[in-house]
Amino acid sequence: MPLLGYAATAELLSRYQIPACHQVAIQSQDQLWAAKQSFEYPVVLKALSQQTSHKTEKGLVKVGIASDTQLMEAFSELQAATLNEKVDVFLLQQQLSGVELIVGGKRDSTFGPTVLFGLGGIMVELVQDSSVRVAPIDTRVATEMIFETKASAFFRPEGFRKRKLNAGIVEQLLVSVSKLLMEHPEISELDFNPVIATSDAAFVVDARILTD
Amino acid sequence: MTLEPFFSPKNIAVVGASRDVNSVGYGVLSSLVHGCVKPGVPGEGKPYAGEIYAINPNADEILGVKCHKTLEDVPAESIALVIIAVHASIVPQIMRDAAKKHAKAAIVISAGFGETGAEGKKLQNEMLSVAREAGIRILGPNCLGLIAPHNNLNASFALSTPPAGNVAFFSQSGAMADSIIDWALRERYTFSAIVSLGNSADVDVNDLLLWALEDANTKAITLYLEGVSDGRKFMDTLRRVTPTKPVIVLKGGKSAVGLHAVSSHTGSLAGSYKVFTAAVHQSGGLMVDSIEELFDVARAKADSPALDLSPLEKTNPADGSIVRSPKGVVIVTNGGGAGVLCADYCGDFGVPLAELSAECIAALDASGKMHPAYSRGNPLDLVGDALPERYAAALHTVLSQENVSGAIVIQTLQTMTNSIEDARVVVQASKAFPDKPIVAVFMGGKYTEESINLLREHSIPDYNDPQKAARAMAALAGLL
Repeated sequence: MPLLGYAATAELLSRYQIPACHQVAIQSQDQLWAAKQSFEYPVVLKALSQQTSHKTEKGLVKVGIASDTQLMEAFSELQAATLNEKVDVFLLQQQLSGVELIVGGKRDSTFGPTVLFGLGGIMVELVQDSSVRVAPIDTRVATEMIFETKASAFFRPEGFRKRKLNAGIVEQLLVSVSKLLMEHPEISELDFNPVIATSDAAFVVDARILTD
Repeated sequence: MTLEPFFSPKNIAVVGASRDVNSVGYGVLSSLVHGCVKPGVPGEGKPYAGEIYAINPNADEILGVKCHKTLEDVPAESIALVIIAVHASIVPQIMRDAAKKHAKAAIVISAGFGETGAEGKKLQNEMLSVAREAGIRILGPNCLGLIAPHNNLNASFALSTPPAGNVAFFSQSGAMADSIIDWALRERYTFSAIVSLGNSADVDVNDLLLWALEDANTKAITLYLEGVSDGRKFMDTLRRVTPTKPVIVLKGGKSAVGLHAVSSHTGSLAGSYKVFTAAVHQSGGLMVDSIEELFDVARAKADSPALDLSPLEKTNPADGSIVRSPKGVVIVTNGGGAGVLCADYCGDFGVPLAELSAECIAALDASGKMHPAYSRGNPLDLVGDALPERYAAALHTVLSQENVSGAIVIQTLQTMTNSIEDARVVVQASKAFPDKPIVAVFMGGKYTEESINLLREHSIPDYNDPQKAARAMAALAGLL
C-alpha cells in the first residue's frame, strides 16, 4: 500500500481544516537555514521516506534541538542515515508539549471507513486502549469515543496531573477525519500519531496515510 | 417476497426422504412427522398440521408417508415449501421441478456448494438463477433447516423441537443451533424460531431480522454470526429492528488474524472484531461473549420492561431550579454474601445501586416484618430466616420508591425458606410494578425447581448466579 507523500498529505489536511503543527519541508541546508527563522527552539527535525514506517526506531527523528549548532548536527546525521534511502522531505517542526493522542482511520473490509481514538505515542499497541466507530460520526459519537477510553481522564473538569484537554477541539478533529475518510474511499489506513493536545489546541505532529 | 412460506407452509415436500435412519432425509421427514427425530426424546415436538409429501423414487412409504417418484408426481396443484436433501449436483434440476409446482420457498440442506470452491459456487449460482426466475426463496444451502415451535414446524434434522417461546435464534452455524436445542430443553429456554442460515445464498440475516421484526411471537432476537457480507446493510437493518425488538449478537472468529498484514497503528488497533462490536453498538444491538450469555440476556430482554436509569428531576420550590438525582436498582437478599457479590457485579457492569432514603428505611421499620439486624441499606439483607412476608414487605416498600428502577431478588436456601411462596411474592411484585424490572436469583437446584418453574411461567428472568442477574440488569439498561 503506497504511502501518501508529504505535500499531498499536507494539502489533504488543510482541505479538511485539520491543524498540523508549525512545520516547513526542506530539501537542503540552505532551505533549512531560511526556514528556521520562523521557529523558536526547541525544534524537531525528521526525515520522511517512502520506505520507513517507524521513524523513531530508525533514528530518523531528532527531538529537543535547542541551538543552531545542534540543528546543523541533526541535519548532517539525518543525511548520513538516509544515504541509501529515497527521502521524500526533511521536515522542520516546532516542538510542542502536551498530551499525545492518536486519531486514526481504517477502511474495514466489511463495514468500510472507521474512525479510531486513543492515547497516542509509540506505545499505543502496548496500551491497547482505543475506541472505534464506523464512519460517518457526529460530535455526539465523538464524545462517546473520547469518554470510553482512559484518555477521558484528561477531558474531565478536574483534568489529570494538572493537564486538561479540550474535548470540543478533539471531537471536531474526529468528525473531520470521519468526513475525510467518507469522501476518500481510496484511503485504506490513516494514522495521526501523535496528535499533541493542550487545553486550547490539538495539532497533528505525524501523519501517515496509506492508499490503494 | 415474505418469508411466511418458510414458517407456516400449507404443505411441504421432502426431496431425498430416505428409509436409512442415519440419513439427513430420514431425519427431516421424521422431524416433520413426529416433531422430533427420535420419538421418545423429551421434546415438545408435535406433527406438522399441513400435508407432507415424501419424494423417493425407490420407496413406497416412509414413516407412514406415501412416497412419490418426483415432485411432479405429487397430487397437489402447488407445493409451498420444498426441503431438499439430495446430492448437490442434482439440486438445480430439483429446483426446476419445484418451479413447475409453484413452490414459494426451498430449504436446501445439501452441502457441496459455495463453501467448497469454484465448482460448488457455479452450482450454487445455477440453483439460484432457477429459483430467482421462479420466485422461489432459498434458505441455505448447506444448512440445518428451520424450526418454528409455535407452528409445530420442525423442518430440520435437529434432534428435537424446543418449547415455543419468544426468542428467535438465527445461526450461521447449523451444528450450534442443533446443540442449543438439546441444551434449551434442559435449561428451559424457549424459542419463537430457530433458523440455520447455511451459505445465505439468498435468504440472509437481514431478511430474517426483518421477518422477526414483524413476527408477533418474537420479543427478542439472538444471532450467532461469523461474518456479514455487507456491513453497512447489516447496520441499516439493525437500526430498523432494534428500536422495536432487542437484538443480541454473539460473534465467532474473535481471534481471527486479518487477511493482510497491517501496516499502521490504527490498522493493528482497529481489529475486525472491534469494528464489528462498534457497528452493532452504533446500530442499537447488544454484544455478548458466550452462548450462555446470549440466551440469558435474551430471556431478560424478551420478558422484562427496560431499566430506566434517567435521573429523577424535581423542581426546587425555593427558586424553581431543576434538581437531578440518580436512580438505581435494589438488591433484596436473605444471604449477605450473595448480596455483596451481586453488588460487586453490578459495579462491574455499570449498573448503579439506589440509595435507600431515610423515609424508605422508616417504612421498612414500620412494616413490623424486618429482622432487628436487617441491613438498613442496599444490598437489603433481610437475614437468613426471612419468610415470604418479609420479602413481600421489603419488595413492595423499595419498589414504591421513585429512585428505585428495579430489583434483584436473591434467595438462598435455609431450613425455613419457603421457596415457592417467595416465588409467588416476586410474581405479585412484578404485577404491582409492571414498569420496573425484577430479576430473580433463586440459588439452588433440586429444592428450588418448583419455584423456578413458577418464575418462568410468569416470565420473570431467573438465574442461578448473581453475576448473570447483574448482566441481565445491564442489558435491560442497554449497557452491554
